[in-house]
Amino acid sequence: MRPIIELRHVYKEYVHTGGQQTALHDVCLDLAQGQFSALVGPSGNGKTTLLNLITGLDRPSRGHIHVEGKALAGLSQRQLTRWRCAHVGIIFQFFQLLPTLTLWQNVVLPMDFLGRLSQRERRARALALLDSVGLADVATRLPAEVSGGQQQRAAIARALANNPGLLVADEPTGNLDCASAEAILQLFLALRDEGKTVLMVTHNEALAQAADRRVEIRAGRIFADSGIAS
Amino acid sequence: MMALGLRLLRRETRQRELWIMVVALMIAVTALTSVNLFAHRLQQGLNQAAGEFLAGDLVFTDSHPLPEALQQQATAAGLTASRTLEFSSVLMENEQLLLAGIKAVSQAYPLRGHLTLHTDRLGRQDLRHGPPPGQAWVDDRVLSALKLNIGAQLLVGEVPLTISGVLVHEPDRRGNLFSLTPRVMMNLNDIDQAGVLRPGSHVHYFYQWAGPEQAVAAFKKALTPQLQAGQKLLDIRLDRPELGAVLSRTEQTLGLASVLVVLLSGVAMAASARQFTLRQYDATAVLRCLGMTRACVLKLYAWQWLVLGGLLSTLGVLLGWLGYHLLLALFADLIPAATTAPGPWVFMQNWLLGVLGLFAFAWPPLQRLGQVSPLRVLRHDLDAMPASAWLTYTLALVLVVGLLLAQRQPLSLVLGFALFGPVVSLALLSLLTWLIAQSRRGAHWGAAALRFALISLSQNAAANSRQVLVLALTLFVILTSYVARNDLLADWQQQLPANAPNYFLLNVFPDYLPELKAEFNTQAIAASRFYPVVRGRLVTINEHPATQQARPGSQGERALHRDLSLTFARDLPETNQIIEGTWWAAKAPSGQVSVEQGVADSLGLKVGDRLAFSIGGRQVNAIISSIRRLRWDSLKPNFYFIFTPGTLDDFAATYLTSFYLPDSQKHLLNAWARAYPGASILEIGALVRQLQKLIGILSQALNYLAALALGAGVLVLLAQIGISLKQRQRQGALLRTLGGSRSWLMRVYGYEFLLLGAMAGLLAVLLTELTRWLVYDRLLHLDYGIAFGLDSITLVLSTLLIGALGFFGVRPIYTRPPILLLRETA
Repeated sequence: MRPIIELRHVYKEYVHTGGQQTALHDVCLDLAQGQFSALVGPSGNGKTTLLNLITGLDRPSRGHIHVEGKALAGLSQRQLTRWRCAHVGIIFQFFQLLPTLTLWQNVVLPMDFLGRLSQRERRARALALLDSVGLADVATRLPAEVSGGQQQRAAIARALANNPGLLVADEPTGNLDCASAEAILQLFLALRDEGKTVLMVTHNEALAQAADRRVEIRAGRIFADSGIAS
Repeated sequence: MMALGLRLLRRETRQRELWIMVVALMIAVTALTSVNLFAHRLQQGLNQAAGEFLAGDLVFTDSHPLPEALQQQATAAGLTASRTLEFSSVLMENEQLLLAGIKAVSQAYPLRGHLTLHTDRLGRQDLRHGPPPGQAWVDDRVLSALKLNIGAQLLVGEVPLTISGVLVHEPDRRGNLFSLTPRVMMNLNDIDQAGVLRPGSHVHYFYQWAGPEQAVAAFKKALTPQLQAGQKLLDIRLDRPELGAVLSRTEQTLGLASVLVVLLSGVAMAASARQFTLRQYDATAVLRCLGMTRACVLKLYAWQWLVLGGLLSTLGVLLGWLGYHLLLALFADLIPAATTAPGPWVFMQNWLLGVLGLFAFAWPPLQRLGQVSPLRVLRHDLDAMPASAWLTYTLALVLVVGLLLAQRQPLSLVLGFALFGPVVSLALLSLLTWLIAQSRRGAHWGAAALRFALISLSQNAAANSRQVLVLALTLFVILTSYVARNDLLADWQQQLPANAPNYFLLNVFPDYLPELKAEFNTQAIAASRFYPVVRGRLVTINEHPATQQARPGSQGERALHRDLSLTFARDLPETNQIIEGTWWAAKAPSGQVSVEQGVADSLGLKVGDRLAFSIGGRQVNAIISSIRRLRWDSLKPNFYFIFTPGTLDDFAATYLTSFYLPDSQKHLLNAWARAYPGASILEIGALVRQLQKLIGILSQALNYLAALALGAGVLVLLAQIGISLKQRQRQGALLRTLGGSRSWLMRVYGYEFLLLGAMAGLLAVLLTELTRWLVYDRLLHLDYGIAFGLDSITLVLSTLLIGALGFFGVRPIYTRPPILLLRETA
């Protein structure tokens, strides 16, 4: 499979009053299209930083990141936002649904940003996506009115709103019970089967084992990569 | 406990929320202090300016000299004193006779105000002393009537005096017999040589005193019980009702405006305190887990607030003092120099108000911390129970009502505020919440950013309605202040146009009327109606002696001890308003009377009461058919009692009018004095000028208070934005992460704050119009019309201002990269 994301000698350094701290150290990583990868490692070792760089939320101190052959460094903040909206779906540990919007309104939001579909089409797609994650009957409810597992499924539906090629999930099951976590895993596997590239940060070893590839980060470096080993 | 409280507080100094609250509190205390000091100073200045009408702060008058012991008592009290004598005397020069009002003045006269003198050599000059011995200053009418010039000799009694100037202005010239005649002012040292004072002479003795406010008040209090029959103490409210009315109104308006500024600042404090409280939940839960009791938690934060309030109040008082001096510098031309600096108590009072204000407005949100559950350490969703709404708002209400009472605001206003204020606020809040919640219905059409803004508004309907209400009340305060200032000025400009009456003509015999009216027409002189005047005294009320019903020291009681000017009229005089009963029809039977409100109140009169008057030794009966409110400050003839036509037909009447005469036509006065013997002329032009000066000061002070209200209003908005900023930042970060562009977010916040501004503006306009209608239509019975121009400007400005301030307030959300927002809100 050809790589959808390529990281070459990526460094990320933070400068603060106590001096300089290196969060990522010479990271090289390729993620293939349609691959479900798990990013594991102890807290504070650079997993989230890596996700932020891949999604274009942050820029590397050194090195290059290419997504679908495009260098992120060459994009302006505005272009990055637009690119992220169209090509990346992000899923958070605490769901991060907007509490003031209903589930379907949350799902419509990324489509509003992109503005490709008509209002009617956006609503229809949002309802279809919610239906695909089993939430059609609670589409008009507010996030606070549904369970944590349902909120996370709604967040996945939202991440899929603009049909992105890449799904990035930061501890998506960290706040869920076992049954809900299993349901989310099945959803990711199904998405992988549809050809989506999924990159998931997790502490749950069982989930990591279920992924196609397990990348372990320690002290800002790739410590182990099952993709390379295989 | 105090040490721990301070340690925790010191750690909090790194938090943005605390600084928002600190700044809010600082501004509140600074504004409160500068307003109170300035209002205090302004009142002192106004009293002083008003005191110019009496040439002193306090004046004693009698037909006999004041006993030496009492004069010494005044000196011992630290007051400066002056003396004047007034009597009438016939002067004869160049074979011309003139009845003149002689005034002999001591060296210190006038203690307040100034004399204006015109001399050939020096022109016009303001002086703070009377003529030196051997000299006289006279009205120009004296010169023309006696065919004299400046420098000529004038014989007063047996003393020859040199006329050294023309008296243009005299501060305490009052409308009694002597001031109707042209003035001759001389030095008191010449009076013995003149030999005009003999036993039985009709002389009025005046003793003026001036000094620090407290000393004057103490001396007045000590002197009042010693007064005997015929002796009078004059102060501005008793002696000059037309000025007293302006002064009281000025004090009330300024006081009310300052309380409203305090209220606005308090709202800003409460909003900031709420934000501070929310931040303390986690720390409090940990303290509770470690074994701290609820009482100890509250004590801990009480110490923090006490120390914080004390320090900030001290700093606020200092800054307020600086602001006060800045204001004094700005208004230096308008406010007379201070007689006394503000005492330490004034500063202490403001310091205490600062601490009390902090607790009244900001303690209720903080009080929730006593209810934080230790379980919150494990379950983050466990919030404290909301503070009792009663406690939250009762404390603030008590403080504001206390301030209003301390300022001696009318009881009806205080009660109205205390009773209806909370009810109206709650009703408005409920209505707004419902209306804002409905905005969701509009979220199905239009641009995505607008839909998102509408949904955000409706989903936070409760918080947004609070925000709109606070902003609307802020705007309402500013608007009311503006309207009050403009209406007051417009009212006065209507009442006192450039050609406002500057003379009263009285004692005009009926025979002269046709000729006089024709003369006024010929000379194009604007005069009020000619009112017939019959002198009489009120003797009984419902067949009981009137003196038994009078409230001691009241306007009514004073009216019973002298002959009153009674009149009759078919039509209600302009500036009079019927507040009870009805004005009579064109052919109403005689025997009815309409009574002025103040006299009616102090004598306990009501419609239907039977009154008996003694007129020329005969009794006249009348039944009260209406009670009138009139404006003493209108400078037009006003009457306590107006009868139906026909009631006073059996009595000889003279006529009274007021008119405007420009300086260029002053020569007519002498011609009229000769043509209409017996008629008297009273000049009131100086009074008009002083009233206009008072209004100028009031207008400027209200401008300043309106600016402070605006500052406090902006602070309220920023504090409110501060409360929701963290939530907005979190939301903004998420939206940007999901692909929301910077311009999209800017549009969302733009729409949201513009809508909030428009709603606040609309509510403010509605409240102001309601208030205007109540004041105009129900209270003053004036014509009410919607101020479309002002309302439109308010609506546009509030929308733009609040939109821009809100937009600016949330700037970090759309200007900072999303990764930074994510890190800050993590």
